[in-house]
Order: sequence, then C-alpha cells, then structure tokens
Amino acid sequence: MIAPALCFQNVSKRFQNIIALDQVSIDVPSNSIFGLLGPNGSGKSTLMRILAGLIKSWDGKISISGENYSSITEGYINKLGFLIEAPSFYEYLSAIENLKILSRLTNLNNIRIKETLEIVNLADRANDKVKTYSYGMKQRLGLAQCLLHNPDMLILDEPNNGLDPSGIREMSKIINNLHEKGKTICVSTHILSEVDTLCTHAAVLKKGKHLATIKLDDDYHLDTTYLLNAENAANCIKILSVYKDFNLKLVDNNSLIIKTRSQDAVKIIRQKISKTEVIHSISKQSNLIEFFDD
Amino acid sequence: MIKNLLINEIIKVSYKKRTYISFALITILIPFIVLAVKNGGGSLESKLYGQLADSFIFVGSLVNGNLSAYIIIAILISHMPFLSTIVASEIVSGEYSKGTFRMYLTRPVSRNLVLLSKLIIVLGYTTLMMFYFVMYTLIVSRLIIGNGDLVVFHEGLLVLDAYDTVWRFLLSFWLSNILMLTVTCLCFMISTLSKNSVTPIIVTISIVFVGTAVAFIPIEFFELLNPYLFTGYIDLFLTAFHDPLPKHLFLQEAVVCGTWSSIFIFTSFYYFNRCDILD
Repeated sequence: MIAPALCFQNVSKRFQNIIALDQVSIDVPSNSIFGLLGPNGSGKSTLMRILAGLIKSWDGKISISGENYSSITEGYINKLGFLIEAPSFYEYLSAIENLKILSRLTNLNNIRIKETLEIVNLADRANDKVKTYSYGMKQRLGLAQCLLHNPDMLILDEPNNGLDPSGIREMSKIINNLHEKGKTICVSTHILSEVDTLCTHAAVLKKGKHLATIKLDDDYHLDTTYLLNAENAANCIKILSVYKDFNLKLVDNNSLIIKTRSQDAVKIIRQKISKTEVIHSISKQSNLIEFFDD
Repeated sequence: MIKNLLINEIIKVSYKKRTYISFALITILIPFIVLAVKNGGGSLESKLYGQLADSFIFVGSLVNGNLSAYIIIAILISHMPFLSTIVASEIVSGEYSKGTFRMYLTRPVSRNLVLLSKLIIVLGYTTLMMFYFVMYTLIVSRLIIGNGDLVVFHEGLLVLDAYDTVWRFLLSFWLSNILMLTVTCLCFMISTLSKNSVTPIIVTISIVFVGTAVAFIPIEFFELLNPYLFTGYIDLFLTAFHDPLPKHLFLQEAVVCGTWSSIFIFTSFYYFNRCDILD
C-alpha cells in the first residue's frame, strides 16, 4: 500500500482558551488535489501554518511520504511549497528579484526562476516591480514562489481568494496542469463549488474538528444536491419522504436539502410541492453542503 | 547560508528609501552647521573662552575645524539614537506586518540564521552611520574652517595638537558607537516583539530619553543608578579628548553596554524562535 503523501495524526492546537484544532487526523493521498474545506475559523489555515512551521507549538504528528515528524525540520519543509493566505512580497522589488531572494535560500539558479515564471504566465512582466501587479498577477506570483524549488507537494491556502472569474479559471488551469505533472496539491477553501470542480478528495473541518474525508470520484458526482426554499420546509419533507431516492435534511423552517440521483428531481419537486406549498427557490448545490447546513 | 541571507538583507535594506534618510540628513545638515560655526566664530570664541581671556593671551583663533567637529558631535550625539532606529525598527516588524515572513520562513532555513542576518545588518548600518557622522563632520569642518589645535576643557584648559586629534575622533566614534549599537539592539528587540514599525522607534526613543534624564538630573539615587544604564555613557565620547584617557570608563562602558546588548539580543532570539507567525 502506498503511504499517503501527507498525514496529520491527532494534530491539536490551542490559542489560549480557543481550541483551533482538536485531534485532527487527515491523510492526503499521493498525486491528489486535496481540498481542505471548512468555514472561516474552522482551522484550515492553522493546520497549514503548522505544516509550514509558522506555528511553533502544537501537539500531534505529521508524516510526509511515510516519514514521521513531530516538529518542523529543514528536510521535510523542502519537499513542500506553501502559499499561505494572501501572497506576500517585497513590493518594491521586481518579480524576478522576489524570486531570487527565495532562490538564495535553496541555492537555485536563474534558469529555474525563468521556468517558474513561465509556468505561471508571468515571464513577460518578470522585471516589473510587484507593486504594479494586479491582484491576480500577485496570486500567480505567489504560486511561483511556492513552485520555485520544485516541491513534491503544494500547500495552497485559499489560492482563488479575491480573484475574478477569469483569474479563478486561470489558477484552476495551472493547478490542474501541476497535478497532471504528478504534484500532490492540498488546497484550502470555503467555497464548495471550487472543491467540486477542482479536487479529487476533500476533508471537512468545522470548529477545529475533522468531520469527514470524501473521495470526489464518479460515484460522488452521480449525486445531485438541491436547496429548496419554501414556506414550510417541514411540510415539504412530509410530501417528499415518499420518494426513496430523495435523501432529505431539514435546515430550518424555510429550507431543506435534497440529495438525489434522480434525473427528474426538479420536475418532481415542483410538481409535488407546488400543489400545497409556496416554493421560493430551488437551487443546485455542492454535495458537500450537508456539512454546512447550519 | 548566512552569506545568502546577508545578501538578501542587504538587497531589502538598500531598496528602501528610509535607509538613506539618516545619511541624507547628516550630509545636508552638517555643512550648514559648520558654516554657522565659521560665521559666528568670534562670538562662539568669546562665549567659550571669554572668562579665560583675563588670564591668558590667545594668539589667533581657537575656532577651527577640530573645535567645530567637536562641538557639532557633542550637540548632535543625543539625536543619533533616533537615526539609529530607522532601519532597526522595521527590519523584523516590517516583515511581520507585510506578511513576508509567511513566505520567507517556509523555506529550509533556521529562524536563528534569519534573525542573525538581520541583526548583523542593523549593527553594520549603525556603525557605518556613526562612522560617517563623525568623519564627515570632521572632514567638512576642516575643509570649511581649516585645521588647528583643539582646545577643550579637562582639568583646566587642555590643548591638543592638530595631529593628535584624528585618532581621538576615531576613538570618540567607537565610544559613541558602542552606545548606539546597544540602542540598536534595544530597537531590534522591540522590532522582534512588535508587529508594526512605529512602536520600536517610540519605545526606544522614550527609553533613551528617560535614561538620558537619569544621567543628567543630579539626584543621588540617579547617580547611583546611572553607571549601570547604557544611557549613562551617551557623553562618554568626550573623554576621548582627555589626557590621560580614562580607560577604566571605556571598559565600564563596554561591560555595561555589552551586558544590555546581550540581554536585548537574547530576548530577540528567544522570542523569535518561539513565536507563531499568524499575520
């Protein structure tokens, strides 16, 4: 059996009275795009900062390709590339100077810097000062920083944060290309649709706890999830409960989640509910929404 | 690795405009003050040595480049701590606040080495600035007013030959630099503890201000305390122009400033190695 590329074992972190991570154990398979999913404050960034060595005191173990670590060592950190939260630069320097600063820490040559800038489509702006870059360009330069030393695994903390739709598409394309080249990529996000389209696996974190790990394979994508908003959601559940391939979950007085493999789900819902209830909306959702129904 | 880290720090510091503020101020201000000394030489001479004119006959002028440099350094030395904090205040806190540590410290490099490279840079900067301040003042003063014997007050009137002054100015540079390096270490420590670059300047200058007050207010308790404070040596550079040189005071300054600097440096490294980078 192949060891997971990255394995968190009972990782815990407390900030004074706040438990940021509570015995989190997650396996990230090799050559996966692994989504770390959770609402703001769920502990995603804390987990990534621990991995990056930015948080010093924590409990638990981390293993990389089967090797155990209980503290951050130079050996393992070189296998990983990090983009933690918004990318940060010396804005008064050019992109190439920014990358040179990092390359001196890992003894890399200028050829690798040029290659990296080409991967993220910034070669033509390499000599411009970073302060003249758009947000999307900065995000791509952040990815270049992360890729510079050619790590086996990329740890990206909300890489699409703040990007416009075309920026998101471009970033997703780059991530998919890297995945095709054999990199393992761990992406944190709170946007469910990003996970659906980009990731092969996802782990859900909530209030510092690991709720589930899901394989986003063909079977997962056979399911479709709808959010129904109606006048009386409890009554809707009664009506729809006769359909065995509808998995129903009440969210609140006015909304419920319907998970199904039925191709005609919307038609059925409208037909059956509209006879006795007022439907405000039916919207297609990520299958992962069940973890965020509160 | 330390060589590469130092190159990185030199690049970062050299691209920032604030790095040049102290050198620019010194370069612009000193010639103006020297010109003022030259033009007001007569009245300055009468104020300095007026009472002595009853007892001595002075031939020629006592105001020359050496005296001008001596007076300018004595007046401006109390402001140099402010200039010595310009780079040190931001060198660590600036990386916290701009988030660049998130990228820099996720590389295979130890935090100790990163901090050491920064410390070397700020100490080098302060030394360079103090050397420039003293030597530039001396050179500009000599160029504008001319060379001559330096007359200072020490156990009466002490006349130092012109050729006997350059090494004394170099010694005064080193004596004042020891103190400035301690101030820099203090500012560096606060920069390591703080997440913005204004706090280190304010705290450092406040401490120097209070310490200087302790040094100059003639209260018995303060006089007892003063030898153990690094700020108590702010005017020690004047003793470089004494004869004989008070070597025990030089040693005392080295021990006191060295102790304080070590405390500041140790605290910086201790904290930096344990702190979480959350910004």
